[in-house]
Formats: sequence, structure tokens, C-alpha cells
Amino acid sequence: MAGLSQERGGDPRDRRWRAWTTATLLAIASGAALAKGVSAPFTLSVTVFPAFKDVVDCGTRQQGAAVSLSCSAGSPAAGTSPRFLLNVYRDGAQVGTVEGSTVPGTLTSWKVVRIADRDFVEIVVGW
Amino acid sequence: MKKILLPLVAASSILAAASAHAVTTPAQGFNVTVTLTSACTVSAPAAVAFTYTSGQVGAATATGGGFNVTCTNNLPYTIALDAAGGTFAAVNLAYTLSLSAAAGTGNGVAQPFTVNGSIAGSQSGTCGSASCNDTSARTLTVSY
Repeated sequence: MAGLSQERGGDPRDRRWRAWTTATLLAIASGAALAKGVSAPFTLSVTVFPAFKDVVDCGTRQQGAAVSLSCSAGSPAAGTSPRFLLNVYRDGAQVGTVEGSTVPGTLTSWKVVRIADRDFVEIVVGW
Repeated sequence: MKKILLPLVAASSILAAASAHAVTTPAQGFNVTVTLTSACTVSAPAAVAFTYTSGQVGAATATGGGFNVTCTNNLPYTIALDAAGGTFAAVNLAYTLSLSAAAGTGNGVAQPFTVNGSIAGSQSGTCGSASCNDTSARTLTVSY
């Protein structure tokens, strides 16, 4: 009878092993069922310009709401497209740059507009 | 006059008897059940675009990168990028990416996030002409 009882109930270590295995498999299965995800691809792009040459330094002067821009003497070499680079600072720390290309005489004005916690550079270009 | 009235009285008596015999069964309740499967959707981020001048002092920050996550109310989720950085091989510029937030809880409407990009300053890059372009493909995943 003792042998039969052992056969029906099984070795306690085997029962624990089966229970642990079952629980683990259930946990894995339920975890796999719960973990869902959706993905979205996106693109990075970069445009690289060579280092600046024939640099003309410009400074700003603020008079009330108006900011005037003045540059040192100099003009781009004939046939080249001037580019501009604005170093953007906030609270004394540089937070980035704004740059672009133009042609002589087309950049008529620019100003910095602060809205909430953002500074926007507005550049007026005449075509 | 009596001959006409009698049949009318008889007819109305029959109708009254029929009405008295209408039977109403007891009200029976029933259950309405629903199983709601939680879900999230994510829009493709706008292209993350950099402009960089060789050797520039400050870091270049990217434009674009905005996307929306829409999840079932109260459903928590996490957002991850497939990589936090990389290199534009054609122009030899290293960049880093980050998220405006890495997790959220659904509220049934589109919730805005941004992929922020940065290219550190003082990199020379590689470009043999007036300007050069390169692109790279990345993926973000919302898990819930």
C-alpha cells in the first residue's frame, strides 16, 4: 500500500518540480500575451556644410524691442553664396545654432521673438 | 331601435372579455458583457533633420521628431528608440537621440512626444563639396 500511495501521489520533489515548471510556463505565457508593442520607423537626415571661410563677424545692439545687426567690413567672394550662422544663447549658455544660406542683399532683417520658454529667430528675406 | 343596440352591446362585451385574458410574463433579466482589448497606436515621427557646419563650436540640434501616442484610457506604456545614437556614415558625424519622455499613461487621445537629436560640436565631418547630405533610418517602439 505504501508503494501504491507513493505511485499515486508521486515523489514530493517531483510534484514541486512539476508545479514550479507549470507556474513558470504559465508566467512566461501570460507575460508573452501581455507584452505588446507598436513600432514606427522614422528618418534622420543631415546636411553638412564645410567650415566657414572669409568670416564676417556681426554684432547685435538692442534698443527697446528693436535689435539692430551690424557687421564688420567685408563681403563674400564673387560668385559665392553667403551663409549665416547664429549662435543662440540662453542665460549665458549656448543652446544651439541657426544657420542657412542666402545671396547678397537678400537678408533684410532678423529678430529674436521669445514666446513662453522658446526663442524663435525670424529672418526676413527679400526675393 | 332595440334591434340595433343589442348587437353593439354584445360586441363590446366580447372585447372586454378578451382584454381581461391578456397575460404578462414575469420580467427576465439578462447580462451584457464586453471584453476590452487595450491597445496603443503611434504615429511615425516627423523626419529628424540636422544642419551642421564642419567644426562648429556648439552642438547642432535637430528639427522635427514630433510624434503622437494614442492608448486606451489608463493603460501605461513605455517608449523606446532602437538606438540612442549613431553615425551618419557618409559624412562621418556622430549624433545622439533622446525622447521627450520615455513613458506615459493612455488617456484615449493622442499624446505628443518628440525625438530630440543632437550632433556635438567640434566634429569635422567629411564633405568634398559645397554641402553634403546623408540619411539614416531608425525605429521607435511603444510597449504596453
